[in-house]
Amino acid sequence: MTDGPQRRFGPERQVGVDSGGTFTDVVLPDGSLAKLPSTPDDPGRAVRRAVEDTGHGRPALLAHGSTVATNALLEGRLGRVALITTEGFTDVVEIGRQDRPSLYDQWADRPAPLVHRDDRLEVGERLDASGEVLVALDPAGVPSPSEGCDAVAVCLLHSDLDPGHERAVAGILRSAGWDVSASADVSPEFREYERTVTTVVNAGLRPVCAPYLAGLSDAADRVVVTTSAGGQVGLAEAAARPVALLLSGPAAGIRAAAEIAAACGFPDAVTFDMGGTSTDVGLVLDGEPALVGGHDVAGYPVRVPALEVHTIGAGGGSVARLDAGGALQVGPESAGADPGPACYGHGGRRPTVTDADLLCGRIPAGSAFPGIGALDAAAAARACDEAGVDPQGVVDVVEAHMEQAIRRVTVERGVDPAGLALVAFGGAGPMHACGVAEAVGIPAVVVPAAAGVLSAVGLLVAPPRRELVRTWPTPGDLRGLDRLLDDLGAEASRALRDELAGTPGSGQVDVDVEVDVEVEVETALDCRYVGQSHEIRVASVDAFAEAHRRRNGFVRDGTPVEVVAVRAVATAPASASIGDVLGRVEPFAGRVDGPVVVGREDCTVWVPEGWWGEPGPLGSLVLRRTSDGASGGDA
Amino acid sequence: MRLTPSELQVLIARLTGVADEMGAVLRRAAFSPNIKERADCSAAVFDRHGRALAQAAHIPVHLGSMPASVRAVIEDLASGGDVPGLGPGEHAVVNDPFRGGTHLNDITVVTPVWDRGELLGWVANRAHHADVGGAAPGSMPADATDIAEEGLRIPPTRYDDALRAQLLAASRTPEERSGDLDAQLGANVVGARRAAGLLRAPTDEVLDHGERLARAAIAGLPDGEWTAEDRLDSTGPGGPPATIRCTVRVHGDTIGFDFTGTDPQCHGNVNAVEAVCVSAVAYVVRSLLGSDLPTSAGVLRPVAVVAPAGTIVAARHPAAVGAGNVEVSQRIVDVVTLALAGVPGLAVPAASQGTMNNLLVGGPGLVGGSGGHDGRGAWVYYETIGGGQGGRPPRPGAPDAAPRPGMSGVHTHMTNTRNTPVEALERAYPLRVLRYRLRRNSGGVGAASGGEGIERDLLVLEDVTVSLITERRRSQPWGLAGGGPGAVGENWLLPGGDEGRAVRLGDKCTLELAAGDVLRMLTPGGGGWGRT
Repeated sequence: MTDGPQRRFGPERQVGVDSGGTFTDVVLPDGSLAKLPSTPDDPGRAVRRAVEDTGHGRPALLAHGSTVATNALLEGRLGRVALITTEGFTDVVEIGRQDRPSLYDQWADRPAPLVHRDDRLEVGERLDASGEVLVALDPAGVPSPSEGCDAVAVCLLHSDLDPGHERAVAGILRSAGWDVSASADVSPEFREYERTVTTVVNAGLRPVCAPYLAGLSDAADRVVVTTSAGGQVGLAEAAARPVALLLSGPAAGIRAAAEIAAACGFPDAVTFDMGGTSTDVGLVLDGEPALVGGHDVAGYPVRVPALEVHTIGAGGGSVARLDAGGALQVGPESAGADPGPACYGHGGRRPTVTDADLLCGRIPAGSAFPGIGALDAAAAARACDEAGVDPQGVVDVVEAHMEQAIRRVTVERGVDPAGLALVAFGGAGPMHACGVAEAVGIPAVVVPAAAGVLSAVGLLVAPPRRELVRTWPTPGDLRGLDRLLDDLGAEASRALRDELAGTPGSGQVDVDVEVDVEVEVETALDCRYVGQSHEIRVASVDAFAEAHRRRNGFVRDGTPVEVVAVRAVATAPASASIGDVLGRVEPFAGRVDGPVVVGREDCTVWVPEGWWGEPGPLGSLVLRRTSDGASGGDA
Repeated sequence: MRLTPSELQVLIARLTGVADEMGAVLRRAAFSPNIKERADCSAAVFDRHGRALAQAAHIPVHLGSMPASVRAVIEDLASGGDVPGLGPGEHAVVNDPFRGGTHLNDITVVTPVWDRGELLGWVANRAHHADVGGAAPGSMPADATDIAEEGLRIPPTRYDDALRAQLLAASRTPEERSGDLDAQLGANVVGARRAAGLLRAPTDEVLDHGERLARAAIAGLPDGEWTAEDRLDSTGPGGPPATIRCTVRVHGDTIGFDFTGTDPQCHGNVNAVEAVCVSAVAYVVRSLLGSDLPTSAGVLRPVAVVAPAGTIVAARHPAAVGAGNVEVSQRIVDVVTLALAGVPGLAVPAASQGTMNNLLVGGPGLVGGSGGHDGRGAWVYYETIGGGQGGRPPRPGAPDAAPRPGMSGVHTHMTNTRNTPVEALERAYPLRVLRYRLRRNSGGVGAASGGEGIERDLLVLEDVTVSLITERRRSQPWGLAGGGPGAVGENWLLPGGDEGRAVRLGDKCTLELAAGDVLRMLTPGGGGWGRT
């Protein structure tokens, strides 16, 4: 998708840096991969050092994936936000959808409301359900936030239908010097709680992310950040809408995995990214990762476009134990990075999945992990003995959990696993992929050449992207829809062009960029049957019935379809192709027959008995069941 | 034990996976927001004797009551011995509260799992249908005194086209019913297929495992006997209050809940059937003795429930039971919780709001948006409204932790359905929400204060019929360990929206509202825990 005249500079001047909580993963211009310890006190330090260490001078492009926004939200380090709502609705941010997070655990709290009660302010105004003004806004009635606040969020009822009142309030506050996020700009979709949370999260992230991103601006000629939707945006857009960055790294990994699977002959695939504390599973159909209109982070529903990721709280660090009834439980408790698994030798006494992997020979004896050193098999054995757990049993149980997670994104959506490949990456993914694939009935496993740092690869191949959404105010009446789609598409296209051209104020230095870049625009509709409360994103109303059948298993002829929202996505060609990036990475070589461990610098692959593998396109390793045909062949 | 600890856990995970998958298929295919978005539904896998092996419950009130449906189907449709009269590919449907159901809205579909000519087990799912006929929209008329007024009653019956036609004919919203029923059937087809591959495993061990966990948890309690009682505001519109009494007996690794002394079933609809009572007890056992207890029937083996027939916790035909599921169940939780508060060393929170604040609105569909209307133009809007959670002592197992205030504006105990967003509500129905916020200072005082209730003003834009089924409008949610009680809830009618003409409404009522009237509901706060 990327070859052609739009290439703006060669891959030799591009660096991908994915900064995570423990490691900062780097893909360098010469194809080498690196893992540096992250610097949580100042995450940008590790990023800048990674760039400086390239030895190739200042890069033309730094493609960055960041957990800065995610960690700030998870750790409650947002700026203090004042919230302005329609009179009578100040507490929507706390009431939420009135449900609780656990049916049976009476001590499980909802995520803390992100705005203190004293900072929830109301303004007299009201629109009705069609966007008509019932109570006009009195500009003099706009309240003043407390001086201690860092930012302001404005979310008025029905503002997705007419943002006039909201923009007026925002304008007044901006004139008074406040940093304002208005919901109609951040997430102009209906459902007031989700829109409020999204706007508040954005407002609270801006004071945190802006200085961080500014600190990276001179690390390369051009710096881009990957969004939750797996598209690149420039620093100015990233700083303006940091709420769109919460799944930055995982989205990049899924995008790279999708391209690799397609290159290997699997347009339909499940991505399987197993790390230390959690595992991310995603679905790819026809080469495209599934897009959703929103996602949850730490219990907060964030309504921005994102690649669909199903996360389960089990990974290499999950702790194993026997319960009082005599069953072997793995997780949800994790040994984390400190003390970590017993085999790290950092004082961990409880057995983890990684300890079991080591004892089962999936991690070769004598292996060393970056920043941790040689693994201590004796400590792992001791931990298993003391807990009374069998290492193979630990592996079986964690793989049973993974199996359920994969069923959730496939079988439960009506997708037959028999036609899929499992793309395994992350530190622990390739160690468990074959067992999981076998249990679910997936016939092939693809391990990318850079499986341990795949998100960093994905950052480089993510296309520049801009998505705009608007509520469609008359769901049953589609007159004027085409015009809105045209207008919205033009607006998205213009926004993307302006950004790529480095318009004044964006803070970008873009000496190499051709202004006349080729921008593609796609439009989509959020549709549902009348009476439903869930929408499906489709290209047109005509495509709805088939999409509904695929997603929900049935259609209802005769029930009218309504349009709830319209979307436009502008994309430009990525500056590097997956072939450009992986072409420089050391490929997998030679046929392998299980049982065997394939050790790599960035990951370990376990090929169990009954599986064999051979090198595939893009340097990857393609594994299949022996019983499915001895010599394999293209799927 | 024949299974190793890991084999046992893998089997449990896979059985749970079947229940989860059925629940997902049900929600995926369901048509109505009530199932799809509010998730008022459950799914479960049973062995051939009808014992629950795993359950995906989204609503606690389904937890202990699903097995009753399966048992009733096995008994009523058996063709002799334990061979059921249902062949491969057949389904049974039941909603009769006196024969395996809970209230008429909850329709359960039960399907046998056959494999190579052998009956291996059962799968079942239950979904709340927004309207199954009866005297008022939503099938929970507040003034019902006989179950005949609450809609179509289906004893365990083989599913066929005639039954389907009967159900659709009875409902005010047949299109929606049709879609939801299809989803239920589809979920069981998927579940039965997948369960067939698992039910030849030694599933007794799954039950034994649940039993061992429950016994271990109970054995941690001191032996003894504790009694508590609490009241329901009324047994129906204008009716007298009613008392629920429970004695908890712990002996070794067993626990009993005896409801002897509870008031007889009443003339109104404030009656729960025994299955609802068992569900409420099962909920409290899980929530106070170990939220990680599995959902298998084994967990209830060391738990005995004595619910005398003919009382409001084990009502008999022909009682109306509309409020049993939603309100009596909440009070049973309160009584059982209060009794357990006497057990030394057991961490027990103060009372939560103790009601679901049921609001049903129905209109002929003259004006308004399209979303809530079916083909005939009639519409039914059902909402339950959150309130205050009780203040909480330090988390069990973490005695150094601080007491925690109750959450505000939240659904507690026997329900957990999501609200309808104001923006979605107003675009779908001729209704407008004028106020939706927390009811400041409505929580009981305490070291951990009770959570706050909700204030909600609803303006109706056309003439409508409204049913309110609410509780804790007279008796307050109690505090514990020196904490104060939460504020009672209040229901008000503001004719024409005029505060000056405001009329206090009863806790249960059905009334006609004119366009321009405002219905105000203030929901109860939670009780406080501990001295301030």
